[in-house]
Amino acid sequence: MAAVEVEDLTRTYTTGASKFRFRRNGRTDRQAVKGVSFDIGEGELFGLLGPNGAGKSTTIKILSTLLLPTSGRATVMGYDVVSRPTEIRRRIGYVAGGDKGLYERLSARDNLRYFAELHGITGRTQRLRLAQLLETVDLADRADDRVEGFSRGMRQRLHIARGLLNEPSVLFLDEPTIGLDPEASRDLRSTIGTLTGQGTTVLLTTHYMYEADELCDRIAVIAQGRLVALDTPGALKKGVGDRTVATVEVRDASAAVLDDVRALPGVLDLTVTSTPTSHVLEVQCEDTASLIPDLLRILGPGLITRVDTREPTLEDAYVALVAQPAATAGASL
Amino acid sequence: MSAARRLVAGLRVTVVGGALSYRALITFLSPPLFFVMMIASPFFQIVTFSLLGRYSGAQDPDFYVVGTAIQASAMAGIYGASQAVANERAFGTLAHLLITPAGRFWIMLGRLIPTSLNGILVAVLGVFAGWAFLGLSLTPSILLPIGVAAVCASTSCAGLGLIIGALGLRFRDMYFVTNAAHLVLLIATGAAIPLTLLPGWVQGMSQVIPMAHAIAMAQDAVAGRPYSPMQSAGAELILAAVYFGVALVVLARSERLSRRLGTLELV
Repeated sequence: MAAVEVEDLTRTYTTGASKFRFRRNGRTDRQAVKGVSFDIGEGELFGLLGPNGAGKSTTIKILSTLLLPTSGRATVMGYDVVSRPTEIRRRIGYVAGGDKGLYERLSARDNLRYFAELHGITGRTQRLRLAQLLETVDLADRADDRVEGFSRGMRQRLHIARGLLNEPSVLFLDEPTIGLDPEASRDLRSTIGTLTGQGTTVLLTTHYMYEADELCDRIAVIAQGRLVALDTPGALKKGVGDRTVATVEVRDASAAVLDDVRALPGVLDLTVTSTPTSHVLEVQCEDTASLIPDLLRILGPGLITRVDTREPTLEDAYVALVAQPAATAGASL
Repeated sequence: MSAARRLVAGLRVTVVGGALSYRALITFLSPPLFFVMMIASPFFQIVTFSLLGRYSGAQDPDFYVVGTAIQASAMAGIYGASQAVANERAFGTLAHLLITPAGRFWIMLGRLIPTSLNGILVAVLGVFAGWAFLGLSLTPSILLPIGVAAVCASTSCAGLGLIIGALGLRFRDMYFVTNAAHLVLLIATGAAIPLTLLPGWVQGMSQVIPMAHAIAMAQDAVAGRPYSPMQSAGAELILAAVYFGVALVVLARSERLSRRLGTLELV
């Protein structure tokens, strides 16, 4: 049995656009998830990637019973998200990124204690599990301090501990490392990595490609509410294996120049990262050898400070996938 | 899970969870805020209506002291539930709360009981303030009916509060409803205005809204008029049962509606 099954899932939000709230006209429908299907095996660490507003969090909220789907079907550990939410809630943990979601005036231990009570974990079992989780997330020495004095990393670790309180079969991690410093992120990734070793199924959303590449067994990429790719990180990278990436650092590049670069034959994608003193152009192309002379000509040799070429990463694959028009991207599955 | 174990688990959520959530969510735990919100504000309401009553000569000041003290106590139940849900939204904990399998009724009850107990404390303080500053004639024979009235009114108001709190799962701006309920109850329960001075339809309404029966009993006791504790307290508790029953239905429907409309995380 798959731990999570999603079949042709859609979710539409209706939002009021009118300033005068009594008016019903002016309401608009926005389809956040459009016919998404996938399944996750037990013990699998599954990544859900996509740009902001792609439908990742909506999908997680449907699976964790916070939202109802508009159509389609989803089950978690065999239970339907619409008709059996309580059964699902007994078996899942949910961790969201960010500062909110904790009781500021309570200590870390009391935050966990409260949610343990809500999960029906009481007495000696509760005491032992709280102590163990606080140790696991390295908060044992701050267990009795109020959360309002915690750093973002500490809060995030407390979120993780809460998500694990009921020893969930499926853990939903919605951008758990957002805003964390590199060391805290690395520790968190290490914690997440050990969970699947213990048999927990993990569904992870993240914007950090290296994180998905390092952790995930399989990755689904969602863009504009549609699933545009689903495979292992290695296979996704191979999907753009016919490409190479030329990195060119220039002191200056106007919009017109960048348009000229995009228009060059063989250029598949261009991303630009700007700093106050330079611009770094990452050009995905079929053949860097034939492209570089054209790049030097257009960008101006006097302005170029560095030229590199490299093999594609998961980020390149991701950029290529989400850049495709959503309507045609389904064909890449 | 057997029914008995479910009941024990539910009671734990109410008692242990309620105590923790009270510490987590209620803003007046610091002594200065507690004084302002729980003592000064109700006290001045009691004083205002008592002095207005004395000035108008419509009723004996005792009428207003007892009525507004019980009204102030019972409102804690209504504000408690809506404040709890609103604070959960503000802290971003509402979604985490609803992802747990705990019974929503037990969770909400845990939010109501501490605030209702607070309310009863306010009633006691209000009555003693009336005795100390406004000349309320406190005799042992009236303490029991006042106490029973405060407990019954708090219970029925907690039922109404639970309905408002449940609606808070669907609608985020429930303070308007809470404030409106406060004013309606202040007027239509006979707490601050004798019911005989109000239109017939308001008198009819007072029979089905919380507090009116309990307040009437306490006012009769203070005035030395005959009263029937079984009838008044019984009517108030029957109303409480009806409100709690409605609240259970509203709770289930509001949660489902909020899942359908995606309103759980709106702040």
